[in-house]
Amino acid sequence: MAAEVHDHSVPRQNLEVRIRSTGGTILLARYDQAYELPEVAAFIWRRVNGCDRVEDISRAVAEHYGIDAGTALADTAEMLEWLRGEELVLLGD
Amino acid sequence: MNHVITAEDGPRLLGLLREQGLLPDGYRCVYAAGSLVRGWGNETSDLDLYVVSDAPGAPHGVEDFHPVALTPDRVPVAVPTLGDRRGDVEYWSADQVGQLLAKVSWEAYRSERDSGATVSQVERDALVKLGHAVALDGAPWLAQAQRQLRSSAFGRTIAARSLDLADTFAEDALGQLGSGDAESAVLTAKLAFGYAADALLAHHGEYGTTAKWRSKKYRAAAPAVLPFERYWRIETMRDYDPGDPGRWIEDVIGCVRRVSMEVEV
Repeated sequence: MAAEVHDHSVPRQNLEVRIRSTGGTILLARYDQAYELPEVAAFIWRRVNGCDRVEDISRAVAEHYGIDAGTALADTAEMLEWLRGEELVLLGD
Repeated sequence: MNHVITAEDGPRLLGLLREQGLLPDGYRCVYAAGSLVRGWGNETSDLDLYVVSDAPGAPHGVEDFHPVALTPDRVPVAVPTLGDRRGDVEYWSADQVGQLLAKVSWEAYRSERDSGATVSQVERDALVKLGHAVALDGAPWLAQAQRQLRSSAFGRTIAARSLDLADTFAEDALGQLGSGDAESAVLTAKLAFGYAADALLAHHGEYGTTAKWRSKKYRAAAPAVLPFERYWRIETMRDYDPGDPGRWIEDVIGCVRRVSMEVEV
């Protein structure tokens, strides 16, 4: 597993994570930890597919939220770093 | 080509029931359901009929029953020969149907953590069949019951229950794979996938009770999140490599998780 998120990292969802969608909200659970994803995190989570790189996901974030590429990449990487830290996503290069 | 049962078969089928003493006086509704109504029947398909009355019970001589978690706690069943088919006739009281619909109401769904677990296989089967039933007599009663079912949380109940089971089996499969028991993990992953498919179908208004009609229902529902061709590749294990079972298992579990994300519960 990569030590940290960079733009060429390829994140994939941890298969141990339970996922639910309720009222438009994404809920995750891993063992006894539960998470309710904020909107942007849910947007990113949905695009974590084990194929797209961080920069691909950040492009979608930029387009969807109308923000510049640099800000989108920084925000996406930060969110993925948090998801990685919680072991909700795993990283590959 | 097999005959599809429609309302036009009502007089003939009611006559056959009456001849055999299987039609109680004062019933509210008689309806047909199951594969022969949906056009999925074959030469050996049973003809599923439901007789609904105000009073519980069945005509004299009908002694078999299905147990249900309702009051009364049994649904009498007769298995007569109806023309060239074996019939499966269940005798429900209108109150039992009402109790069952209450179990899958939005109120029950929101108030109970796992309301799906309170609906038995027999009860679930009855609700599935109610959804696609045709009245042979007493059409207004059936139309009202179907309206109630459509506006209930039945689909949500089935989806939530199926996702819970899919998760449980997915975790078991990963555990088995992790401990080196790949053979068990393959079977468990397949179970998880089946429940995920059932959840997806329920999300699209096709409720299943067994895998028997899953492919038909899948084609009818045509969920975009997992198109039929992809679903069928997994169901038939077309990409399974005995030399690398872990890859197939993880791919299937990944698919189960993606389905979980798309099914509203």
